Amino acid sequence: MDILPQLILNSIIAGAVYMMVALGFNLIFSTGKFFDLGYGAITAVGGYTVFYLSKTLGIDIYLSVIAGILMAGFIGWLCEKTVYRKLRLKKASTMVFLVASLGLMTAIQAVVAILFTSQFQTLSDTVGSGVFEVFGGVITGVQLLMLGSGLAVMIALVLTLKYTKFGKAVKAVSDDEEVSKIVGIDTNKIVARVFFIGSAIAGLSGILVGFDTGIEPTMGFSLLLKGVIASIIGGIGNIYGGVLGAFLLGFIENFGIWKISGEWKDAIAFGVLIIFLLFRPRGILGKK
Amino acid sequence: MNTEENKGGMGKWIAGVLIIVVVILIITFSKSGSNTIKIGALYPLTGGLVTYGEPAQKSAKMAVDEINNAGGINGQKLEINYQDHKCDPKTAVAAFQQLNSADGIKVFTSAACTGTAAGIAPTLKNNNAVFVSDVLSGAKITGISPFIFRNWASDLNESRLFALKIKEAGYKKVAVIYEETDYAKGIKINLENFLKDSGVNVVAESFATGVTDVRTQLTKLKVEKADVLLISPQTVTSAEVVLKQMEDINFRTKLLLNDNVIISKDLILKHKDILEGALGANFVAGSSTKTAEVLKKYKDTYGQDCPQTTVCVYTYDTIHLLADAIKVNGYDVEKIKNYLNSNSYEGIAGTISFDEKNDRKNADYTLFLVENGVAKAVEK
Repeated sequence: MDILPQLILNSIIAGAVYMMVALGFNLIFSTGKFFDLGYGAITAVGGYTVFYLSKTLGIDIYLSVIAGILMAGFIGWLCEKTVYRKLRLKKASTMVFLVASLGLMTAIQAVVAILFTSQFQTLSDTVGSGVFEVFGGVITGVQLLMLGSGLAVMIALVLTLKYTKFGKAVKAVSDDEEVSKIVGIDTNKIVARVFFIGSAIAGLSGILVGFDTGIEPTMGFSLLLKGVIASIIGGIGNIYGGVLGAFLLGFIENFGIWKISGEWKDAIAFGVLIIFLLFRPRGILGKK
Repeated sequence: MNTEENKGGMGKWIAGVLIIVVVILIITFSKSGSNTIKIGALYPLTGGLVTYGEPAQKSAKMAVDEINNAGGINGQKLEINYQDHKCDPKTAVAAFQQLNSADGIKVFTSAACTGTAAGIAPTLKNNNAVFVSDVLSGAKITGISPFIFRNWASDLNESRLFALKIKEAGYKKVAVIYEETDYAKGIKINLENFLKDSGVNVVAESFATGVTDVRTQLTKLKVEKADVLLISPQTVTSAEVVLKQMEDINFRTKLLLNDNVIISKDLILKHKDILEGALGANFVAGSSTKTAEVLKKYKDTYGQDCPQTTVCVYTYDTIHLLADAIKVNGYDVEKIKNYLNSNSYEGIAGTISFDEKNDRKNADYTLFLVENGVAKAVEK
């Protein structure tokens, strides 16, 4: 077996996961202007909603997926409405936002663990169960689904932001919230919707990761970290940048441990992050 | 706001503080005056090793009820304070210190993990505490502290058994994928030591705890075309990730499985195709009338079979052993330690005695073979 095709596929699979997380994170960051750590825990909300509905209640898996995405969106929206909006009104510093989001992440993870235990769970063996051979390497149906979903979400976001009134409002809020208010944009409404959409994307990421490997209450933190690194590498707040950064990170990580031990994987990822923070903090593409 | 309102508000505050102080004093007084002997139990009650922690806790409760129903220890009730160490050394050390300093507990028991026990070991002497653990296999625990006793087998025997099988089969190249923990890495290091100078080449890949993508590590091992692959994860969760991704990349080869994999019936059944013919090693309790009675009692008490019979039997024995040691020596750590060093105790799973490095004597691993989704014991 030649290692190269499988390494490339492994990198693409990892990139697809990071892309999904980075897309939602970037969207929220562009309007919220802070590192929303609670976003990580929202991935688990999506995964566990599907787990509860499909495995405990026996509801159709595809309906459960839709419910999981909506539930994740709702929880994200609720966090914005009950915590972040109040902090914005008080003109809290980004550090306060960061600490608040850390609190939310911890609380959401704890609630999920109380409701479902901390046990690792698998979602479904039927969704995307096929295995496909590509140039000597293999990729599963779920991983293809993840890749396809990520690209579909990216295209949908690009089109929405570019061609809809809502998208233009998001860009305006992202550029300057105060000026947006002056020109009559209901910024609270826009930010709330952005949180809903971004969190729904997080929920979808959690669900797909659940199909691929499995779910546990703390699953979101490591996903979030990789999503943030991808965003910073590509250009934080930039949709294309997030996607570019995600795949770049996937390739760097997987090819980085080609000749050295796998234990270096995270060290490589964070090493790249530090290099970018030092020499190109705005990322490859910068903010658009 | 006028002065009267200020005074009224201040009065309420003072009354509130006084009530809290009185409540704390009552709780403290009731604790210090209670007629109980306390043992601290550090079990993995959440996380990837909850499969050990839960039956251990239930078995310990059963043993405590028996002891108390029989009159307790020298007329005093036995009470266990259970804490969740999550198989995390930091959490374990914090829980140990809390029980030791705040609650005055000096006698401890535990189930798993090598890392948590290794974290607590250096603090035992200064904190005047003794620690008897089951489900503890890491070779590095041997002789780590005169205050730690292991009522379980050392996985040095597991690595020795694997090395023996590798040599018998005439394998020339062995691949290992292991989790970066004391226990899981320890098995790999010991295997390398046993295979040193035997002409067998060992290639190894590792992954950090919590990682959910080990495809590239597995891909690298796949191209090595080794004769056999040893899978050494810390938890069933990690084992699930490894096996699932082996299936994903169609990596099928002869397998050796550490005790954390071979012990999980559900996992073996779920991945029965890829695991067919795999060999594994585990420390198992021998069956006897007494063990059968305890396991039946477990089922009667909790309405379900003990999912890990060796864990249940050995935890039950450990609690009785500690109760016996306290009964003979009082709550004196030095005396209990000396008693454990020099005496034997007849447990339901055989005689418990410890060697000069505080490991249980005569604790061997059994070899298992996976056939049709079930791990069957084949030889000791």
